[in-house]
Amino acid sequence: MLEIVRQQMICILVPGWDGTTDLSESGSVCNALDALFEEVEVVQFASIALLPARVDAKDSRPSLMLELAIEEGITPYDMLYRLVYHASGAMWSLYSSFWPGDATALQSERNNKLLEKLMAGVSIADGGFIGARDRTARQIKKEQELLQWTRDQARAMKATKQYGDDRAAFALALAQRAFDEPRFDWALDPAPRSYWRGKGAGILAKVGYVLAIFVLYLAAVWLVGAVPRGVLGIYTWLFGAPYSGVQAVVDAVCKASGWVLGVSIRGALALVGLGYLAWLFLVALPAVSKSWRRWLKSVGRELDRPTETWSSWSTYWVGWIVGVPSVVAVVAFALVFIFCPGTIVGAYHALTAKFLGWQIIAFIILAIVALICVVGVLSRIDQQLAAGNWFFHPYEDDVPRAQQVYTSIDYCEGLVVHETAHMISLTDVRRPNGWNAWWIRTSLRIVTLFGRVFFTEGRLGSAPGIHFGHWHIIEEGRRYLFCSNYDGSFGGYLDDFINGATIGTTLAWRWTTLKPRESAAIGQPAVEAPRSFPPTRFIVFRGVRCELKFKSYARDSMLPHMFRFDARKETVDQINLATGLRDALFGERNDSNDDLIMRAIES
Amino acid sequence: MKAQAPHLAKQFGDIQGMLRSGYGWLKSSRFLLLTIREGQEEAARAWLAKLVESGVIASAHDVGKSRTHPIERAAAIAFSFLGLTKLGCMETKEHPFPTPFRSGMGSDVRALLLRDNPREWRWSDVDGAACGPVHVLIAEWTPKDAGPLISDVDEAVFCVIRVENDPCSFQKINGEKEEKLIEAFGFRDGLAQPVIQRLRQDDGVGLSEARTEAGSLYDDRVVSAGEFILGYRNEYDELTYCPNVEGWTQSGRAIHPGGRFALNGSYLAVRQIEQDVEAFDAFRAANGQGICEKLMGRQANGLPLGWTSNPKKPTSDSKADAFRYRVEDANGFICPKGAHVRRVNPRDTLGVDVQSSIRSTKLHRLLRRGRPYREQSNGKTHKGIFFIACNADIERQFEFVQQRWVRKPGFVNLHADDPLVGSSDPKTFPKALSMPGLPSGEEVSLASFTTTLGGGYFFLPGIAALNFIVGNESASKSPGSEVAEAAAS
Repeated sequence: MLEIVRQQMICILVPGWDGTTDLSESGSVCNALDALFEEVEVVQFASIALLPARVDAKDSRPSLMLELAIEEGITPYDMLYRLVYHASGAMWSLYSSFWPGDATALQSERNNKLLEKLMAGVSIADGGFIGARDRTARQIKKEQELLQWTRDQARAMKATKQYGDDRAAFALALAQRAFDEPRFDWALDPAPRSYWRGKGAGILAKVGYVLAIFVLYLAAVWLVGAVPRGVLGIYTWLFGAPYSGVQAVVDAVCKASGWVLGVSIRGALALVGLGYLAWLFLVALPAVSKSWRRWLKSVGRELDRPTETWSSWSTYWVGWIVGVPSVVAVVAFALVFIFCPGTIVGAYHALTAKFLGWQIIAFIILAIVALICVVGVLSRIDQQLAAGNWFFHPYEDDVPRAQQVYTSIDYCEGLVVHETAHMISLTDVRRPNGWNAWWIRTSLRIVTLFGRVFFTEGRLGSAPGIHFGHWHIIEEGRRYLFCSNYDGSFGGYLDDFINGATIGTTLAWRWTTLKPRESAAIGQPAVEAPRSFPPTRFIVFRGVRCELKFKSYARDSMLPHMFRFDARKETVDQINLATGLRDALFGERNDSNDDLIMRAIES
Repeated sequence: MKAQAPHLAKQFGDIQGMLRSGYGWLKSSRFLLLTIREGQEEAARAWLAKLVESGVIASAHDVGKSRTHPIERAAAIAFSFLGLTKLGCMETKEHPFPTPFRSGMGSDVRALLLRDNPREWRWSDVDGAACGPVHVLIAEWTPKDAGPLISDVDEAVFCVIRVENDPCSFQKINGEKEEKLIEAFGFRDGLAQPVIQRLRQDDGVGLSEARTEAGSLYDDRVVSAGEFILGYRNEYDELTYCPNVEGWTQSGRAIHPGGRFALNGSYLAVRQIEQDVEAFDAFRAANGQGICEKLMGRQANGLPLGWTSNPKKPTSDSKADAFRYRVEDANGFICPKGAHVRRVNPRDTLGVDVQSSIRSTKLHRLLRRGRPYREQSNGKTHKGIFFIACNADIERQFEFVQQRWVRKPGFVNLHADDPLVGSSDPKTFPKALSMPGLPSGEEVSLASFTTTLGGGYFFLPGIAALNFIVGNESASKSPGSEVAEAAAS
């Protein structure tokens, strides 16, 4: 399932760019690429940028990166085949400088070489998110035409003043006109929806899917033990006892199967238990206890606080002294429960032998009351200290060269201010590369899964306006590439991430750093001084909350695009609006649809 | 632990007064845009030093001295990036000025980012038709009918553009005793200002009174000091970035030990916006006052469009500003979503819920200190607003508001520019505004009501930094600065 999403966003990296091809905006190569992407129809977004080489790389020439965001269900090979073998030869004109003096070769021969080279450089996204999921460029185009037509019709109808103040009658009249317009016959069919936005949208379907997979897994594990035992039983019944070695192997397999089954079930139960505890402490208790709520909020605030204060510092260390051991104890208990349940049963028997039931219950109640009292006292201390101010007063934190934007990046943003904005960020994976790359991949798979299954309405967390956002771990886990096109300005985009997808963004970036590097070409940014990703606390806190550091880090890691193709320039909201209008105009007449039509025509 | 960040309350003497007050009681205002002529840098510095020494530059401390006897005159000085460079202030490599300020509002890239094309500006911080880039902005506030505070500008040293006061800008409305600020189209201006946390602003209303009248919505307008004053905590709870210039640290002038040059300063986004009063009056005659108010997003007397109490009964500004959109007017039936006031400050319109929306809006607030102006040319009177917005992060505040809210046709899924300050280019988007509250969401066609004549980004320094810029040796060094000086040497 994740492969489908990841394949939609690919980057082709070809090292050794010598810079002899003219990539100017109005040059023949860019024009040819524009025409090519337009004609193949399935490319939704494309860009070209130069990735500067690492300082320790053998070849100091930059890599040419071609970013492609394409429709669902097309493999990278199919996509590249379609592009490379296109009659226009646009791809060859882009890459021909890698084979200097080879212009006379046979076209098929050239294309074979080119496809092979491009496939060697393909990097499918390690994680990604698509805002306007389940919409093709052609669909978006048609729906925008419908939206524009509806707005023009509405303007003309308003001028006639026939409809008084009856919004329903106005909406009905618009719907009738749209229905009578033959060129919108395609809209009679409801807009296609992805499974997770359509039938699978309910929480039952999403939970049921996970449960079904888990049950199937359990069944498979059980069968691994049951089938040999059954076969052995039938064999014994038919032919008598087999060799003792066979019996031993079957016994071992059965035992292993039973052990895995037990561990899996207890693991699931432990997960449920841990989930329950998380719900109890993070949702239920804050809902019923004001002190708890206030305390929890203040802990979160202090751990996230970007400036150094006594309050933040002490919360962090109390977290280490109290919080971490508590969490470790709970996790250790869960692990013992999963792998050595007998230990817990033994300890329970020992406990019941020593204490009566009511004593155990009283102890648990006392522990909870004590915990609530401690939290209440901490909350009270928190308020008292707040009145004194010194406890919360910040200490200086130097962020050198903040709020700086390289000229070519600034121009790139200015030139596309009426379109979707675009960001290419290249950072280095922190050492040890392998370990950190593994963590990044794991985090990205989780983000991709959530983006695919839960965030189906164009928002990642509560961050809106992302068309495509994809991450790639490249160069054997040494570097980290992030490309995204989105609505709005760069600063606003990062603000959305800081406020709307804090944990996800911190998780996706915290394993990276920015090492010095040369510029890829004249006019392109270099990294003169190293920068670190803002420090995090307990993996998910702080990080991107340090706005100044995070934005400076992101800004310094950015590279300008040299070419970009955007099949549609509408915002995610406009795309959703047009799809909604299509369904409202051609769907049943009700207040909700009438309202949507009237909203769509507002200026 | 490192050094403690400055306490705002201890720095009032170093913060220019316009950050604390809009000087509502000083009803006359003038603005001088000065370009230092070639080779006149020393003379310019001397003239500016004399002006600073004369004591007209008010500090936040001066402003807060007495509410019963407020100061009777005030001035402020700010510099463009080229102005600072001209006066010898070179940014340090480690702490340079932010890119938007350095490139200037008048630059081509800013024109693109601010969606300003086409521009036909008379002046800017990057270049100008007659004199070249504006280097220094001086603002002055005096009592009504008082003469100019600064009249002795040496034109051999400076090329001067004067933006004169509009004497009709303060008027009584609804029989109230106090005169209120009215802009050229006849609407009350200067409402809905953010309240800077821990900086009690003194515009005639007591804090507790304002808090009581606004009720639970008072917190919507309280914004961290770092959103407007450099060096303090902002809405992200982070200390705002302070640039530095060569020689500042060694000069020992920092009021706060170790404080950089920009501490206690702010950036001003300035625009001279001419208002076509005739066109607006013609629109009013054709469509009625009600439509004009929908266009603006407020009643002419400053009350919200959804005001349900008796409109003739005097109401405090605090109470009139205590409203939200999402709960009572999510669809814009009362105040259209594209109305000017709703675009520049959408309150809780955006975001997934009210709280996150308010939080997000606070990241983009502007402290407005502009005033109406008037000028006579070719026998005609031209009126407009000399717009000044104080902010600490130009990109996140002024540029964001301009680019993503005011001038974005697709703002909240609409498809038109701002009805008042939007583009006059008919090729871009229709000049029209829907009135969802009227029958069938009636739409009105709009004329072009405003033209921007010039603009620039200016740095409003703290008082100590100001003395450093103008080379004022007589300004005393702070006690703590000697430590910093010793450390630097």
